[in-house]
Amino acid sequence: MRISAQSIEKTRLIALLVTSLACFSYAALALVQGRPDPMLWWIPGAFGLGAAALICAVAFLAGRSAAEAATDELYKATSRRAASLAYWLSLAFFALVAALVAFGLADWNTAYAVLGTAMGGSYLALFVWLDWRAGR
Amino acid sequence: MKNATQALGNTLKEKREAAGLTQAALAEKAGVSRKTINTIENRVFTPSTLLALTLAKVLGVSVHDIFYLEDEA
Repeated sequence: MRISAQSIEKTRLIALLVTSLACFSYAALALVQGRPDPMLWWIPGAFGLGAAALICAVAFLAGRSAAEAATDELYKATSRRAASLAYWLSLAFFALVAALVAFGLADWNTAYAVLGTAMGGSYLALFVWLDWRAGR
Repeated sequence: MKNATQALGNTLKEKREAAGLTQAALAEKAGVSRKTINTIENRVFTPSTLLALTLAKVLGVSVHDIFYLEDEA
């Protein structure tokens, strides 16, 4: 069976969506429970590594030309746009979490865990949204 | 001198159909994804000079036959 560039794109979209949901779930639970480890601390990272491994495996099986087509200039433009938007979204998260810490609603350890996962999740979620919108 | 915010129009869909190619076939020949061809045709994405020239070469036409400034239409 031949794996197309479209299959790589779909795999990437789903894998990054699941990873971003894992990151945001961790951040939300940490905030609600008021602790930096609302679930096993390595779960978001494991989702990220799993997504990377899955995408690389599908790209490897698809072959060089399909992999290059799936990472063409539209992909690079989408990735750059997601990164630039994620920068501002992350700054907003910093302001939000800083306010929570300032008002005593979250401690520093929880704030680090929330920001660490929410910032990573921001880029992934924005990439998924922009990529999905471009393909409609 | 026109400003750089002028929209780039294109006749890629017409030229592709005239060549008897699907979006997927053109994408494969140009080495990009079908989504890239779709977004160019729908004017969502503006291709680089390199890709514009590649598309023109694959379709056997001049780049000016595919891409034009909106007010030239």
